[in-house]
Amino acid sequence: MIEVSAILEALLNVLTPYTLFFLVLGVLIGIVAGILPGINGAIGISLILPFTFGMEPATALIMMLGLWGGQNFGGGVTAALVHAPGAASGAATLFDGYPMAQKGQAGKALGIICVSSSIGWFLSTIMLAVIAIPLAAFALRFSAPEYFAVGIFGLSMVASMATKNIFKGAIATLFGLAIVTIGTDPFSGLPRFTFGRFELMDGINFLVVMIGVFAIAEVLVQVQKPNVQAKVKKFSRELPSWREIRALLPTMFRSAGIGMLVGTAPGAGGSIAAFIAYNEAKRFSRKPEEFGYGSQEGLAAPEAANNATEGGAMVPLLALGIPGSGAAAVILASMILYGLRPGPQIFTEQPVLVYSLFFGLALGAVALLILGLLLTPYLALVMRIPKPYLITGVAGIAFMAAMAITGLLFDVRLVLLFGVVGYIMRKLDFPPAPMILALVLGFMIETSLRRALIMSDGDWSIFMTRPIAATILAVAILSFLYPMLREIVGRLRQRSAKQ
Amino acid sequence: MLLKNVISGLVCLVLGALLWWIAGDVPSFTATDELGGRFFPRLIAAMIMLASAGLIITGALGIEIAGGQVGGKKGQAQAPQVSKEDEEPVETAHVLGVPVGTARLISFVLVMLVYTLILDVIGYIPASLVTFAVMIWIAGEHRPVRVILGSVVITALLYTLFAIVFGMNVPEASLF
Repeated sequence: MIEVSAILEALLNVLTPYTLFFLVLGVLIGIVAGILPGINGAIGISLILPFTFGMEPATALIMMLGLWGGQNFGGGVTAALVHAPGAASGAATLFDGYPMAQKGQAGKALGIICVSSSIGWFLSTIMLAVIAIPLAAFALRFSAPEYFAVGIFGLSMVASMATKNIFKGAIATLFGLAIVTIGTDPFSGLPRFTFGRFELMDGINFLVVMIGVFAIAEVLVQVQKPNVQAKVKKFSRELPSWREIRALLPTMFRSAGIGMLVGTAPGAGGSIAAFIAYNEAKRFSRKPEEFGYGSQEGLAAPEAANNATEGGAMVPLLALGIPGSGAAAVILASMILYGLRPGPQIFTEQPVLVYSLFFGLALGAVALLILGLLLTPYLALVMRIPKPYLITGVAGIAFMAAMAITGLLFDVRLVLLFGVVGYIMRKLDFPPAPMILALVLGFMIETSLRRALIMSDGDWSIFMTRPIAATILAVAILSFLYPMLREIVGRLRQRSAKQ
Repeated sequence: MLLKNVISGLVCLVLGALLWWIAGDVPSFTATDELGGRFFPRLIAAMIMLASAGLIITGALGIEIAGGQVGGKKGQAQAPQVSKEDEEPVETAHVLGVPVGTARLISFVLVMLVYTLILDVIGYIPASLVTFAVMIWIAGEHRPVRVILGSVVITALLYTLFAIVFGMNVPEASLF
């Protein structure tokens, strides 16, 4: 399955000044987006996506991957400097990054964040290549029933993991699937839920929903909060020494492994990986008592882990066509928009593109290292942008992005509608990520289900008699039922303990 | 009882039922496949109603069933400890009986709605200049010169980057 000529061609493609420029630009935008409050990878990517339509698919995707990695780093910067992570993935960085900055070692803290992020990102890219290629080769045996099962598995994992309430996760997922059914029925060609509006004949573009529920909803959340400017103290620009970095390498390597593994599980994002890596680093550390008071290991671990989730999330995305997180869902959506078919076939149909993404990711880690270290003294300036201008600017970009999708003002109004829906969802603790994943996977799920039933002449047992499909579906159902069973068993135990 | 869960469950139940009812207009089967375009939406509607019932029942019993976590307890997100000086200030002011934060939110939504309606009437640049100025003001910047400058800079940056550099078509005025 590995083609040397394709690898060489991909390397040459990535090393062109054009691609390198957009990669560096993506990393730079990502760093700024990560520093800004509330802008996560999914928002950043969905906002730039409509403007990449004229680019080569590989270049556009590499730019987005660069943005995603840069954003993970930027989230850590804010966590260390102002005790408020710019992105959720930087939450664990607070514990030791902020105390370090308070001790006058902010330059060192940012340096460690940068090096750990780059190493985590780079290692996860290598592991991505090692795992994704054989997994895709295995997945080539899949046909309609297996694809249906894989789609359900992806949704079930995302809906049931890391949500405050499993029913809310399920409902958000199902509404995502319901939105997919709007438009033209893929089999009969008849309109479905279009209510006579020609704008709905092609369905609702998932970018419209994404920009609404991520970007506009975030603008609404921010505008409701008081207008408070982040207080950034003057900080030392002294970077960590090579000796300090060398001492942290084992922590970074271990945390990158954790981040990679966690990232491969759909629904488990950078913040979960960061907390696990932080706990493990404390367990392995010779100085666990320093954790929480400015431990360099405590800072390196979450940063290496949350950046490594990017490579991890790319494994199911590339090999199976299942996105593992909100940002991965937007990457998947972009691939579909570019006419690519994410999934195992992409390794045989578009090997140059796949290897270009691997090289792009690896070079992105290098770009982050250079940019991060060079820009460290100036990153705090981004935090000084006053909130009224920031949220107005984000809203302006979101509407511009909506106009770029189809050019229809109808879509701009839909973006606002979904923004309000996204705001309500956040206030009521309905997670937006499962809805977005359902939007991306919904078409595949419906068409695979119907195609499988055509294959079997309407016999539903096709999903039970094919071992791979049956196993994946069983795991999907168990992963969804597990939290409920855990709750019931826990309550029964509590009751018997009381008696 | 978790009232928020019960009410949101009831709303979702009604929406699920509505989806089931509307799906009745879609042909149930076609020549190409037995399921037809109606089956999938109805399956989703039924599952929405089922999940909503779960949310209502657990909400009424005061139970919140959290999702599973990768890594078990190690992976559970912990709320970062925030020191007093980093805590967000609480706003107690009201505008027309509505908390000031909510008033800002409602005004922002209304301004954005008006923006989407006037874009093709007065064109991108005038609509953006006015709307962005109002948004900046609502968001907390009340110095007139800065409000105007902010609006001009944001509009100019967006227009230059997207309309001129990327060659994107932005709405033109139909009024003039």
